[in-house]
Amino acid sequence: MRQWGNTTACLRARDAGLPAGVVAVTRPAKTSACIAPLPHCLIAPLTIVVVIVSACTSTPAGSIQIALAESASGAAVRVTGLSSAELSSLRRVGNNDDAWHALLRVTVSGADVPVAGRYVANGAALEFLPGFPLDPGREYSVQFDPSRLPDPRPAPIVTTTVRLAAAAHVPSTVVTTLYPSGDVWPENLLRFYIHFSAPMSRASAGGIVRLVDDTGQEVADALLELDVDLWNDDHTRYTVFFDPGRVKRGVRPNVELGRALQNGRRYAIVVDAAWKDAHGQPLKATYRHEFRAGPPVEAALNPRDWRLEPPAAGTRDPLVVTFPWPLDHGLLQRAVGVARSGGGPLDGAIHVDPGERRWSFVPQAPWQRGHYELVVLTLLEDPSGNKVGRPFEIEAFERQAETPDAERQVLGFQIK
Amino acid sequence: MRTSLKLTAVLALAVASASAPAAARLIGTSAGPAFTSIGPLAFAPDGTLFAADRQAASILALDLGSQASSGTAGTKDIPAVDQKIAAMLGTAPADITITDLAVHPQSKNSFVSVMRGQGPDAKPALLRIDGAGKIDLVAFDNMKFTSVTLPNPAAVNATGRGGRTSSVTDMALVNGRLVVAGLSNEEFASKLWSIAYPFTTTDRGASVEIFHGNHGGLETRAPVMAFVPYTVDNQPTILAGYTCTPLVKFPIASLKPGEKIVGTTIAEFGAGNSPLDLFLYKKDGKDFLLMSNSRHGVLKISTAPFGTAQAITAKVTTPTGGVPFESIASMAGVEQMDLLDAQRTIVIARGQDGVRNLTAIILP
Repeated sequence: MRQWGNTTACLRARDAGLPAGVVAVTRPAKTSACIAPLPHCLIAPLTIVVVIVSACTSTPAGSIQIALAESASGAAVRVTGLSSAELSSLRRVGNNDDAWHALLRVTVSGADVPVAGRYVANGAALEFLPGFPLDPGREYSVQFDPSRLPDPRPAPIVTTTVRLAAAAHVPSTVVTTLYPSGDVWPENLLRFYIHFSAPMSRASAGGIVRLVDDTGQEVADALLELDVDLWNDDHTRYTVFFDPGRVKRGVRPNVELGRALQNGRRYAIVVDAAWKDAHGQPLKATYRHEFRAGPPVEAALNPRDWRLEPPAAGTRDPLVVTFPWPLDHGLLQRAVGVARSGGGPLDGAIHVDPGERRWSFVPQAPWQRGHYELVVLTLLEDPSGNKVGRPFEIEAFERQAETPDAERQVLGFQIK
Repeated sequence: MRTSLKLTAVLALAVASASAPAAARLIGTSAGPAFTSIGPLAFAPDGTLFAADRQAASILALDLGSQASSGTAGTKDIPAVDQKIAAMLGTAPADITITDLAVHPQSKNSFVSVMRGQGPDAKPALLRIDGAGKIDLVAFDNMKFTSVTLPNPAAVNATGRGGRTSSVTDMALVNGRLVVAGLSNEEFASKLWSIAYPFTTTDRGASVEIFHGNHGGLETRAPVMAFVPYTVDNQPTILAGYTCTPLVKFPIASLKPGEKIVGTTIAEFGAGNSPLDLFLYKKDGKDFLLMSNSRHGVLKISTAPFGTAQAITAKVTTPTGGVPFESIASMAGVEQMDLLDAQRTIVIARGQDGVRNLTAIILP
């Protein structure tokens, strides 16, 4: 609800010829116009002149009025009071951008560059359709100069401001969890994920996510800042990499600085509340994930070391797989699955227990007696970057060359 | 062989057929491209603009038509370019992200890709800045284009990518193939993917994974952040900048699936750093590489020793190692950079006041 004064004026969309859910009002000079979804009603001062923005078929020129109106592509700036002859000449004239801007200029208030968009003279009004939807809550300045019409009208320039009602947002987004979720992280950890309760902005973690040690001091140069978008599609998960040059033994940054995490010491990942969500609001609170650094994990993943607990035939009980150490939460969602021997993958639901050491699969259809396979893509990693058959730390190329480069491994199991 | 291998960097290439690439999509001319996101950009010599769409996991080849040449030739400096672009897009500078800058090879106009807005609903925009300083929003309506879909992420079930996304870090047209470097937000893998251009429905592309060596060990799977093709000792080569921050050369001829090749780490530029952009230029008859970085600013590197440079193998006791380079202190805050013409580079640099300026700078 927006307040302009002590008198209420409310124009419903159906009264104004606007699409349902839209309210438009304006006033002639030093004005503001506002468009908002119903049932919110605008409160406006007595000076407001309500302009019926209907499909006007009257031909004579009237007083110029400017308001926001809804178009097929979102809110448009609509100029009414133009005669049929004036609108007709605008349709014929074929203005270039400069000529349009001289006639009808829409800018972000305070900026001197016109907003890009299209101009359409229809049967009732001249409309400016911005190239991108106007921002709710942002004020735009509009200037219409009748002397720049194809047949100049000797009338003063009309200026106004327009604004879409701002949705009320308050800080509400929180960090829901970090993966690895355990309280012991190997000192050679390469990657962790931050999950949020709602979509976040495009901003990266630089300066927002910090590693602090057990004295409360930030560990400098621990995390890698990349000029790369590391969000998932809906911006509810962000990937943070430790500087791989410090993680990997023998590489110069590692030699000079050592690993950021040292086995046995306590640390915390701190996510500052200043990180903005998709509505531009900061997080509701700063988040801390405390953990102890453990010994490095430098071995390749070997599915043959995993423990499988096959369920009974005729049930939809989960197949449970237990790993010797935590694996990557993100990759566990797609790099492990179940197939019927000789058949395709089964549909079902994957669940990863806290600690990322237990993976379970519930099939859509009950298990049948017979042979099944646990399918493991060799791109599966643990959070330290060790893959199936290929550790992150490789000392010599020969060893790498000897490693089978299969794309998947399978573990057979029997349902009885 | 172990010893000799320790003396060189090693690149191993293998077809990543588990992540089968989708065939190219050839789109007619009746409708323009529908981006969901935009950037980075790269021009082909004929003016075709390659634009990556991260969200749609695709690369579009745009025929800019008259929008490539209808402005004044060249690029004029634009102070506070982020403010002006934001105003054109009807928003505030804090609500846009400039994702790349590329110079048209003929008109020398600068094209800037932008995401307008925050969050998953941000909208893509492409702007052209000409020699008169005019900024135009490039219209996609009816633009001719073709596109190709990046390889799908490998998954046991074809249930989509989950939370996995892949960002294109750089791309270039090399010997008739578009070579694309990328970085996933899940696997820590260095991917180069190449596909024949013009895109066809029959070439499904080849994905290769690169390993490079360092200090006697193998720094595996570091992402390639920027690369450029270059001829070293008459051998077509790719010079690739990685995170944290080796510069590696390897022969273009090795970009064949299933082969293992020997490459060379020829320079190191320091920890906590990531290359942003790099290009080659000529000055006083000599070739140089100009490389902007997230932490170490802009570096000028003579290519003269590239052919004879020894692979970095021993521990480097200085902050950097390998071929010599010069730090260009005057080019501070560079976030986007491309070669403008024979004498100048064009950069978008963030000043101490936080404002981003588009500025042409004489090549160092």
